[in-house]
Amino acid sequence: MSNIVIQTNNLSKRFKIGTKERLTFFTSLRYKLSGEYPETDLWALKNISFSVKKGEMIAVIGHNGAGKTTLFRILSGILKQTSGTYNITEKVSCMFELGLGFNLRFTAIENVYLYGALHGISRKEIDKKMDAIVEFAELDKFMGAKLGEYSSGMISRLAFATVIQTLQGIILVDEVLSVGDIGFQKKCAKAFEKVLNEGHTILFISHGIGEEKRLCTNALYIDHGNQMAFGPIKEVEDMYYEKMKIQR
Amino acid sequence: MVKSIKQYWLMIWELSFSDFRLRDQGTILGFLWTLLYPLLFFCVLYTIFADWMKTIKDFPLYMLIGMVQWNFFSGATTAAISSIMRYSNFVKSIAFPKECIVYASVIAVLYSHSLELLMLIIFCAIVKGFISVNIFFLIPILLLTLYLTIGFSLLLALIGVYFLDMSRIWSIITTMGFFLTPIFYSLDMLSPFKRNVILLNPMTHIIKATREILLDGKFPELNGLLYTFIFATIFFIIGYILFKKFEGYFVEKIQ
Repeated sequence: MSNIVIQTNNLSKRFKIGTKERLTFFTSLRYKLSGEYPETDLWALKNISFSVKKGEMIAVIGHNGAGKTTLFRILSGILKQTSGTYNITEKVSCMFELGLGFNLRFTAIENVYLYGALHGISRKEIDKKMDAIVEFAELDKFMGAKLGEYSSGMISRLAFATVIQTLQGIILVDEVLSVGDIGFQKKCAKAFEKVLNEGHTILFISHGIGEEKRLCTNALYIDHGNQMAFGPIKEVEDMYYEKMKIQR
Repeated sequence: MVKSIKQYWLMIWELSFSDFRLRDQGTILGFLWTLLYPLLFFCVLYTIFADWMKTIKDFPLYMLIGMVQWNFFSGATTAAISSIMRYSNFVKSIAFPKECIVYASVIAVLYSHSLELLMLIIFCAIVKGFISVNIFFLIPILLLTLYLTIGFSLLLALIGVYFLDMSRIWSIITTMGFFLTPIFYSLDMLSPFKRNVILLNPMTHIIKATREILLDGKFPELNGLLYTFIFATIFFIIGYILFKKFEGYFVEKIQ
C-alpha cells in the first residue's frame, strides 16, 4: 500500500544507564583499566511494529517511562535505534516538552527564525507566517521580549503556534496539551482537526481523556517498552484502563 | 538537492549569527571587547620583546599578524569544544545535521576575525605605504585557515561531548601552541632542528604567508601552504568521519 507514511519493524532501543554523565579522561581510563563500567542496560523499547496511513491520527498511550517519548525521538531522527528498522516517507515535525528547542536568551521572534532555519524554512517564508503564529500564540505584545521573561504557558503557546503554522508533513506531539489552559487546549484540538483535514498525519502521546481523542482512529499501547496493543482506539484504551485499574 | 544545500547553509548562517550574538550579548561594547583582547595582549608582548627582536623588520606588524591569525585558530577551536553543549536544547529536540553547530561556531568567530584582518590591512598600508595586488591572495589563505580550523573543531567538538575536561586540556595545548608558532620570534633565530619542528606546525605556514603578502607585498611561498592544505584535509576527513559516526549518540550524552 502506497499511502503508508510510517512503518516500523521490531524497533528496539537500549539505554545504558549510568554513563549519561560526561566523564573526565582520567575517570574513563580508570573504568577502562578496571573493566568495570557503572552502567546497566535498560530496554526502553522492545520490538515495536506498527504502521500509520497518511492522514491518520494515532494516540500513543502507556504509563510514565513506558518508552513513548523514546519512540517519538527515534521516529523524528533525534535518537538512533539499537535494532529494528523504520521507514518514514514524509518530513517530521515534533513538539516535545515545550519550548525545549528555544533559547531563553533570545527574543520570541529570533527563536521562531532559528526554529525555522533548523527545519529548513527561510526567513522569508517565516515572515509570511509570522502574523498567524503571533495571533495563534496570543502574544502580540511580547514578541520582542526575551523568552527568559516568558511564563511557561507563554513559551508553550509560542512553541505550539510555531510548530502548527510551519508544519510540513507528519507531526509528533508529546503531551503538550496539558500545559495550556482549557481555552488554549480547545484551540489546539481545533488546530489538530484542521491539520488533519489538510492531510497531515498526527501521532500524539496522551494520558488524559482529552477531547482530541475523538479524532483518533488507532492507538498504540506501550508498557515497559513492550508493544501491548495496536488497533482501534476504543479497544486499546479499554485494555489500558483495565491494566492501570482505572475505573472509567 | 539544490534546495537541501540551501537549507544547510541557512542553518549554518542562522546558527552562526545567534552564536555571535550569544557570545557578545549582542552589544557593540561586547564586540569591542573581543577586539580589545588581542590589542591589549599585543601591547604587553610588544613592550617586553621589542628590544630583543630588533633584527625583525616591522616587528609590531610582524607580531600583530601572527597574533591575529593564531587567535582565530585558538579562539575558534576553543569555542567549538563546548559548541554541542551550548546547543543541547536543539540537539535534544530537533533532528538536524549536528556538524552545522560546529561550522556555525567557527564562523561566528570568523566575523570578528575578518574585521581584525581588515584593520591589519589598513595598519600595514599606512605603515608600509603600499598595498600589493597580492593582497587578494589573503582570501584563499583565509579559506585555508577556516578549513584547518573546522577540521580540528569537528574532532574537538566530538571529544568535548564525551569528556568533561577537554576544554582544560585544549587550553593547555593552545598555550603551548602559541609559543610553538613563530608569533613573536622568527624562524631564523632557531637551530635547524628546532626550525624543522616548528615548520611541522600548520599555522606557521599560514602566518608566514600572511606576512609575505602584507609586509613584503610578495606572492606567498606555496610549498608551505600546500603542506598546510594536506594537513588540514587529513584532519577534516578524520574529524568529519568520526563526527558523523557518533553524532547520533550525542543526545544520549548531554544533559
